Amino acid sequence: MRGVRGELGGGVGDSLPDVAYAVALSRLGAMTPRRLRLLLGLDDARTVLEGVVAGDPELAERLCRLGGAVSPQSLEGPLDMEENWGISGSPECLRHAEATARSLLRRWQKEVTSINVSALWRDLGDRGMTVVRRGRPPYPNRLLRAREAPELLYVRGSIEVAVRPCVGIVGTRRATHYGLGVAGELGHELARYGVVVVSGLARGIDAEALRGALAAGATAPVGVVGGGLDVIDPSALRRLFDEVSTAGALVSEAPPGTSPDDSCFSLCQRVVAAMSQVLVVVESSWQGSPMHTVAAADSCGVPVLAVPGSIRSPQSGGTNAIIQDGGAGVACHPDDVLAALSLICLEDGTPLPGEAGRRTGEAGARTGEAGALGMHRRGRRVRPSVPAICPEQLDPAERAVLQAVDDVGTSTDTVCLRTKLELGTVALILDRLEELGALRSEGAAWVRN
Amino acid sequence: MIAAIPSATLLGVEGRRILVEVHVSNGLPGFTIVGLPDTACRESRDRVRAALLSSGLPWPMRRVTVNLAPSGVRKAGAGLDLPMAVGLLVATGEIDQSAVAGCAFVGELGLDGTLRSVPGVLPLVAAVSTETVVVPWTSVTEARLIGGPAVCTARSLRELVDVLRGSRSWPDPEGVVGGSKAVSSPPPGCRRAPDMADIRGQAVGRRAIEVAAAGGHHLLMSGPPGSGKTMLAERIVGILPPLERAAIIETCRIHSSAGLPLPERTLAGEAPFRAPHHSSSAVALLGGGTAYLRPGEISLATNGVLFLDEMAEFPTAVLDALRQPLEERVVRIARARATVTLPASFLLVAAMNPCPCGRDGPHQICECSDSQLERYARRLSGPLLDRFDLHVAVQPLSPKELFGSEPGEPSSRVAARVATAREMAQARGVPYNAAIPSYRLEELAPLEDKAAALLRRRVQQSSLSARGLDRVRRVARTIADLMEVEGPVPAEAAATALELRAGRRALTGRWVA
Repeated sequence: MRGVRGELGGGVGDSLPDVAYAVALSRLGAMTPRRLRLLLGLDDARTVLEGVVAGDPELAERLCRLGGAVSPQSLEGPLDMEENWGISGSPECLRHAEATARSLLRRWQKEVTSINVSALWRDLGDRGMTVVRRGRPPYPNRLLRAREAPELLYVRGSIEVAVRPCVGIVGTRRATHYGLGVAGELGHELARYGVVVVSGLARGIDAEALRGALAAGATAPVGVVGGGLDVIDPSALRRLFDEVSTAGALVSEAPPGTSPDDSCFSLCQRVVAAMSQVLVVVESSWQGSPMHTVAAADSCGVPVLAVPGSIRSPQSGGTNAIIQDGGAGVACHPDDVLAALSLICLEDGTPLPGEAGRRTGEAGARTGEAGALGMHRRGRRVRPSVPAICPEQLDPAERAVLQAVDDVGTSTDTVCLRTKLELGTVALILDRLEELGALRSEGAAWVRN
Repeated sequence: MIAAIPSATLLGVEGRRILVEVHVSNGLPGFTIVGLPDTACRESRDRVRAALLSSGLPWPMRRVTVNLAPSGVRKAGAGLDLPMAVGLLVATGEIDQSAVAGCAFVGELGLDGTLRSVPGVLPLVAAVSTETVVVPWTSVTEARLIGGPAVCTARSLRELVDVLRGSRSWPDPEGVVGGSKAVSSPPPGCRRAPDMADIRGQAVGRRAIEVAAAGGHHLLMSGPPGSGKTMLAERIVGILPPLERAAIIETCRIHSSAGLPLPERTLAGEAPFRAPHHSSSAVALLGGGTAYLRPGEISLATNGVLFLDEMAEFPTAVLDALRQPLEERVVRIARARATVTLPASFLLVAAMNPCPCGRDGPHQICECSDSQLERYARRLSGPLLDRFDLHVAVQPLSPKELFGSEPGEPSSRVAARVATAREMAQARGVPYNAAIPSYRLEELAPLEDKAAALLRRRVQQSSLSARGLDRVRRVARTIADLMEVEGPVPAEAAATALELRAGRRALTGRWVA
């Protein structure tokens, strides 16, 4: 193809990186991810774009003949269809495909005049975003495992952290205090051992895991979003968005300005699954969205661990079910996750957790054991530092109240019913126990610390 | 000849004294009414004519002018039929002037001459300045409640004329008890409020309504459907202290001017309980209307309880309009012709679900999306939520708790404590503790050291604002009164007061990720 320089919108020079042209291509109307991939597979992005501008007839033919662009479905098809690079279809299909390709190219030729490549690139730069192209560094290699891996990734922050061991933590948006506590701890501990926590930025488990990872201050997490990186939804998570993009990376395959909807959500889940070496589901109901992430992980060959929960809690219905039918291993402790991760790292040849990040000597020795032998030590429960309460310090009534509070969330009414004490006495004791650090209040309920 | 008959007209919930002057002269036959009558008033002419003729009395073929003095005030309603008819009869000489001296008349006339009742008899009778007042048959109970002028009645115009001419005496309606006796002995078979013993468990909820009743603190209950919020609200009037006579009269007056029958339970001393549906308009809730300036639900709930069930379903504008009456205890309705101030001194009790799907508790998952939750949170403005001193989360009972626990304390015991607490508040010089102004909190509601330390810690943790602290102190004072502690507020009361606000944390915490 002969390139026609200088005809692309905006007085283009040689200074823009090739991926800028890919971005421009992606903004054309009716450009599905599959079509984008086919186009970018032909040549480098700049040449392709110039070809579209010029209305090069060869382009249409090459597009059709690229083995796979034959059946009309492959040009129109939904994203989760299997890749089909063989030639198939009758001569009518071929002709239909050619006609579709030509009409698309005509349309794109008209639209491309209104696209200003350098302005687009500058705009991305102003928003603090970079774009990473599939297959070219620093695109995470693990992502290639995903079905229909994203062609272009918009990134805020630095995606290079993803070379470290990655664990995905997902869960329901309507989590219980139990699930939130586990997610936060898990994120915190894994980050301390140099593991990159990957999660979607939904409220509930995902957000709590990222917060835990940020709080450890050791290894930066990666957040995956369904919509554009500048659209923050729900707005209550604004601070989390900013912190994750500053400390680690925020990625999305949707261009800025896209508002997230449910279909974007399922796409971003496959990114989370593919980027992780191990996926941990903390809490999920039977039909919850984390179950789709589990399915995506299965198709990429990523092992799944699930945290069991109370059989009475609907939020643990899904996690308990996948443990039961063998689809997932059990994670009762961060060590379980680290052990599974170490095995994978040994297979992959990537650095083991604990070796690749800052950690204390004790932690290194621990994980060294876990990594080398695949065994793990149990027993010590990991908690933020809180002075332990000796039961002898408390009088019988206080002890009774402490007993009555579980770690899921107990209302004051229930405490009164269980201890058979008066409300005034119970209120005073609850306040004293909170002062001592044995309890904390979550909304209108009390939770054991 | 001119006749002048005293009567009254209704303006809001107050009656206003007026004088019906009737002038009969020679000239072309006609009947004119002046003095700003409204439509119903103007139609009086036809009613009076038909009534007179049906009663066998002559209709004068002369020029009749009726003036409703003072002429600058708008006269509403059909209650001036009777004074106009009597005035006409006096002016034409059918009845002696001396027979109606010192007598006011209020009532509507039917076409056959029957005397009919009008809304607002109670305030109307309270407004007249004469020694006697004649009211329709069915309004006698109401009229005698005031204990002011002597109440006489007749069934029809013919009967009234006969009495005034002296050929018979005033009929006395049987079975109608007069004056103060009506107040203390209500008609048999009138229901009382449900009993608190029906409630099982719910320690926090039961304590909350006790504190609300004792201190006049507004209460908000949030919880999933079926958790017992409505049950709790219905039982508050059963533990409120019995109304004083003045309060009963005021409540009856407001009901009367709204055109409602006298509430039987109020006559027995029980506080009124109003529970408007969330589809009520702002006018229905606050009062107003173009012609009548009718009192709204908040005025009808004066001296009692206004229960807003499903508070989040009320239009935001309506809820915001409540803020000022809650502060000032009156509602001012301004119209082009008049501004009326209606009383609005009530205890506000509200119930709401924690989220639109209503499922948020143990063993249940909330199905709401993020945008639904955010929209729901925005319906209740911060200033409105701030008006509630008490905010509790009510959870449904588990089956074990429902069948296993004992019945709660009966209303009589709780009511006794509430009455004592109210007396203690009144001894301090405030009608109830919720009315203690901030600058007098230190003087009237000092804290014990432990209690002060407890509250100070909360303030330092930023879980309590300065305004929240004031509210907690008032509630703590009420709790201490209920514990019959005269001196400084103990730590137990302060801790309980904080617990009774815990629902606020749940509400705001839920909608944060």
